[in-house]
Order: sequence, then structure tokens, then C-alpha cells
Amino acid sequence: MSLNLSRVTNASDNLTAPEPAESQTLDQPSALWICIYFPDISLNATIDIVDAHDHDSPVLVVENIKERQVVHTASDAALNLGIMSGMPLNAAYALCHKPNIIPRSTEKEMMLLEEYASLISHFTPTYSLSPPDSLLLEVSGSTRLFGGIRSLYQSIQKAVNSSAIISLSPSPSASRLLAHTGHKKAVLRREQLKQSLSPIKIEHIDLDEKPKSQLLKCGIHTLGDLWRLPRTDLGKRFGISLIQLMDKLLAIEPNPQTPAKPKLTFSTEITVSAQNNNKAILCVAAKELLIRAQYFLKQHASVTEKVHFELRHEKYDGHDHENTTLFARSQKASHDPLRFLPQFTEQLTQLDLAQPVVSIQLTISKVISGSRFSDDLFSPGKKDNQDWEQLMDIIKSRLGDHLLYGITTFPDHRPERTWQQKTVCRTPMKKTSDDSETSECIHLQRPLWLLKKPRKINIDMLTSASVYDIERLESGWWEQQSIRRDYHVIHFHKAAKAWVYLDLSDHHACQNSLNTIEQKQAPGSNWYLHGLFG
Amino acid sequence: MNDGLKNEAQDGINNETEISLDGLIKSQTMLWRGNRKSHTSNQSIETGFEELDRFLPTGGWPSNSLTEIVVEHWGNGEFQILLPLLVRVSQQSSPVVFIAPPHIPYAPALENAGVLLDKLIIIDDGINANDLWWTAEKVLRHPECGMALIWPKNQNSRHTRRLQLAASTAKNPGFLFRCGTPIQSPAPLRIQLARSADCVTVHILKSRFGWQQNHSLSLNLT
Repeated sequence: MSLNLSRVTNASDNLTAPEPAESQTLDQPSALWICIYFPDISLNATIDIVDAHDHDSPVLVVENIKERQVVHTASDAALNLGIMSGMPLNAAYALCHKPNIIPRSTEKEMMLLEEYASLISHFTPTYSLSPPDSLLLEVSGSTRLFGGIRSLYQSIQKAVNSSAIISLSPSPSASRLLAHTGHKKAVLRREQLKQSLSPIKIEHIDLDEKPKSQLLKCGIHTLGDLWRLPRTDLGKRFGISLIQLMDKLLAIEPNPQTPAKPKLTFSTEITVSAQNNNKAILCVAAKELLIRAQYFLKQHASVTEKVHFELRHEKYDGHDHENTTLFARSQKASHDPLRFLPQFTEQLTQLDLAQPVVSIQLTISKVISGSRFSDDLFSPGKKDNQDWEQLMDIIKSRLGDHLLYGITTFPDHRPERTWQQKTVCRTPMKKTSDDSETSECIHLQRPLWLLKKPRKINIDMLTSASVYDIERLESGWWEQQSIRRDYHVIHFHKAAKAWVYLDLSDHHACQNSLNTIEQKQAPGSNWYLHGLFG
Repeated sequence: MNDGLKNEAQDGINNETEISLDGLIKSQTMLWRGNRKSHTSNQSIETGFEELDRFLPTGGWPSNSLTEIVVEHWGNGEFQILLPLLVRVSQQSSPVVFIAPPHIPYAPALENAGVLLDKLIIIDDGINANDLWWTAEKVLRHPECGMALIWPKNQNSRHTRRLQLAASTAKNPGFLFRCGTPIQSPAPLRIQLARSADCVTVHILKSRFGWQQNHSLSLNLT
């Protein structure tokens, strides 16, 4: 066992991960960190720009360090001319006359790193970004699932860029250092870390320039030299940070990593025949996109409630046309994006496409993870009203949200406020204790129709009416919208039974003396029709 | 010889026609005798008013068809007459859709009557005429719809016929409300309501399901 491991750990630049043997699993460390280092990430992040140029010409990604332009990454063609990273740009010009100079973009590098992370996210739930150019994966829980370390390593290598350098060790710092120094190594046991890291030069360690130069001046060139020195004296002379760094490299001190959040957006595009404006073909393309989205959501055990389609138009007379944007939404987050297809089809039918569509892009900007709905175990025959919800979504997408609503009661005495609009909900909401106040009104007579705005009525209408009940409503004085009204249920001879009120708020002079209907019918009274009994 | 054969064949056809006439009326829902209730009358739902159930040719509201209710003014009993059905449908957990009602269906009154408000869906009357017909058809065609109440903005025979087709296909009751003087419409059952004191007079304008002796009924809604 020990022989086998030592053979493996000594094999540098060619990872030959050992077969997971019985003895290994017994002796397995608590954590195993894989570091994936992408040396070409700066070049790959700007690959589109590079593509526009000639492939054979040298490309240099430059950055500003202390107001000097320095080569950050050089392409193969530039490397062949002797240009190296860290070289000042002037020196690079001396070696090459016309290099393609591209400024470094850390934002693009970060985006690319996140994209790489999405490729390996299914290997382990614990992975983190180590900007600007590395990913760290904790794989101790995944080795068995992927059939051993060797198999896992090969799967990861297949999933990422071939130029990536992958190393493995029980310490994240050690894995990172090994990968950055070009060692494709697998160190499975903590005791062997010191041996594996010893040849690494001091320049490569993540330490400030000052202690680094001090170490070099003392003749300490490698990590091995460092470990040979007494620990306490090193701490006294070079500071506690060096001791901490050494302990982290050997996995003695904990080195927690911030777990990366999984990518929460999904975007895919499909190109359709340029000269084709056939809506049926666009629907087929949209279906294909939704199937891809369905696969993505299934893979990530996620749901979504909104998808976004962008129809890109053909260039016409050399001019770009604005893209057409369509949304499909659902009131309930769904793991099946295909339910958005009828909404897309409906919106497309309404659309007048001025220019042919070249491509359709589908984007899900909000992916909700871990809430995949499942069927009811105890009532399998229960009717699922998913189709009805889908219909409501289709209607909403055509009419707009504001035109479709539900109604509910609200505990307030002002008739305009005793009801409220609400969004149409899937399951009936349980009554809250606040609703108890409305139940007091059960014995009161209320009209089935309420007018959106009370309509002023003339007195002639009232003279021919029979009056039934009178109810005074006075409320809302604590707000700006106070009311003071006498409500009457009246019956017009040739019309409906109605709910009318006399507005007393403008009637200060006689508000307390209006006791009979005759008095209330005096000229100048403010009578309003507010409801009909239907 | 040939003439004899032809006559025999002709007689055969006549006999067959005579025999199958009653059979056809029994088997075909599209054929009925004017003075009798049709066979579709069993496909009805109780109105909640016994008198009205007896009066309507279908023995209740037609359950898989469009019914048109004409009133002179809104509020002349068109809502109250449907209230018992509304309560029952909502309590059966079936959705009830109001499409472009002229006023606000008042939640406290509906709750007092026993309507489950969670089952009501209101499409605001800010909707344009074309969208209204489209929505009505989509809703009526859906098998899970409990009932649809529609206040159209214009008269359109073609669209009304489509609604009738949708209602009969999905077996959903649909109610179409019109205000003003009655005009021609393809709805299979059309009634007019007139209000007087606490009573509402129900008058049958058209019925594809047969006719009653009396065409009018005075109904107390309270």
C-alpha cells in the first residue's frame, strides 16, 4: 500500500492516480481537494477578439502593473518568439514587431471561470472559485460515485479544457500550488505533502514580496529548505503569516474555502433559416429550446417561473433591427418549461414580424434550485388543476396582469375598502383571524354589484322610490379618506333595487338634523348610487 | 317489370322513413317536436329556484350550452337569478370566471351568500372586444371550468356561435348578458328578465329545447 502510494506521489507531470484499494478507503483523509488551473484563461476570455485576427500572429494579453504595461499571458506564437509572461511590453516589442495587444479583462476572466465551474458542478456539491484562474473541488465524497480517483480525474479532465492542469491533495493551498507550478500530482495522504511540496520554489508561494525576498537572501530557495528550519525561529523572524501559510499547505491548519453559488441563469440559442418568417417553424424552434431548458432544470433539480425569448432579426440594408422580446410566465414555478410553449405560440400569433427571424434565444434569468414539486403520495387520484393554471397563464400573457384578478374581503367599514383585488391563487387561502371582523357584516344587506365610482343621482329619482333600511357608515377619520354616509336600500319603481347613500361629509350644517327622508330630499343634498342588488 | 321494381323500392323507402321518424327524434338531439321538451332537457343543472326549474324547458339551466340573459338595465335580477348556481359551483371547487362585468362583483355580498371567493376569477372590463371573445372561448372550452359569465361589448353572431360550440364541446354552462332590447342571437336558450318590486319576470325569448305553455314566470328572488 505505502509502496504503491509513494510511486504515485513521486510521479510528477503525469498523474497516475492509484486504484482505490480497500486499504486506501480505510486510510482515506477527511478531505481531498482538486485544483484545476487554467493557464490560458486570459487568452481564452478574449478568444473572440483573437479570432478576428490572424491565428499565427503573436497575441499578448497585457496588464498595467505600477503604471507599466506588462505581458500577462502570451500566445504560443509569442512564446516561440521568446516572449514570456511578466515581461515588460517594451521588451516584447523588441522581440516581435507587430504583436496583437489585448488589454486584460478580469470581468471576462471571471465570467469564463464561472462558465468552467458550471461544467464541473455535477462532480461535487462543494466547489469554489479561486480567481483569477483556478477552481477548487472537494471530492472526497464523490470518489466512490465516480468509480475511484483515477476515473474521477479522467472525467474531470474530459469535462474541462485540455490545457488545464489538475492536481489533487488533502490541502486546497497545496493543490493550488502544485497546479500553478505545473505539477499534475495526486497526493492522497497528509504525511506525504511535505515531500511532494519540497522542490517547489519560494517565488511561487502566496506570500508578500518583502518576506519572500528576505527568505531568498537567507539562502532559502525551496519549501524544503523552509521546513528544515526551526518553526519557532521562522515565526519570530518572518512573521506568523508564514507559519500559517506553511500549516495550511500541510493541511494542519484549517483552510476553509467559500463555496461557489451554482450558476443561476440559463441561456441557449437556436438559429433558424434566414429567409424564413414562418411562425410554425419558430414554434418548433422554441419547443426545442424549451426541451433544452427542461434538461437543464432537471439536471440542476430546479424550477423556474419565467422564461424570456429573444427573436433576433436579419440585417436589412446593412442595418440591425431591434430584437423582439417575448416573456412567458407562470404563477407557479415549474420544472417543466414546455408549459410555456402555448404562451409563446399565443404571443407569436399576435406578433407582426416585420423582418425575418435569424435566431431565437431563450434565457432563464431566475433558476430556483431545490424545489422540484412532487406528486401527492396519499391521494394519487387527486385532480391536479395544472391545466387550468396554464390557461390562466396564457390569458395573463395576452391580456396583461392587471386585467385578471381574484377578489377577497377586507375588514374595513368603508364599502370601497371592504373588498380587494388579489392575484389568482392556486389553492384557497386559509382564513386569517383578521377576517373575523367581516363576518360581523353577514346579517347586513349588501349589493351584489358595487359601482366602480359612486354615481350622483338626482332627487326626482328618489321621490318615486321606496326606502327600506338606513345604515350610517362613518369611518376612516384617522386617514385622509374619511367617509360619513347614510346608506339606504331603495327600490326604484321601474328599475333595480339599489344601494344609495347621502353624503354627509359636505353637509355640516344639517348633518344631525336629517332624520326623515323628506328632510334628506332637500335641494342641495348629495345623493349617490353606490350599488345594485343585481 | 322495371316499373314494378321501382315502385316496390319506393314503398320500402317510404316505410323506412315513417318508421324511423320517431326513432330519429329519440336518437337525435338536434331534432325535437316544438311543443315538447327535447331529450337534452336532462342535461341541466338546478337553478336553485324550484319554480324556475319547472318553468325552464330544460328543467334547469342548460349544463352544456350557452344561455343568454337580456335585461333592460344592469341589476334587474340577472345576478341574483344565478347566485344559487354560483354558490354551488364555487363550493364544488370549480372556477367561476366573470368576463368583463359592468360593475364590481361585491365580495362581502358574495361571501354572505356562500360563494367561495377563491374560486372567482374576474377579467376586467378594460379588455378590448376581440380579446373578450377570445378569452371567453378559451375559458368555456376548458374542461375544468365551472361556469363562465360573459358581458360582451358588441353583438357578434359568429363569435356567439363559437362560444356555444365551445360550451357544448367542453360541457360547460356559459351565460351571456345583454342590456337593452333583445336582438337575434344564436344562443340556444334566451331569456329576458324584467324587474318589478321584489319579483322578476322571466320571459323565454327563444328555446331550442322546446316550449312551455306559459312563456312568462313571475319569480320571487328573495
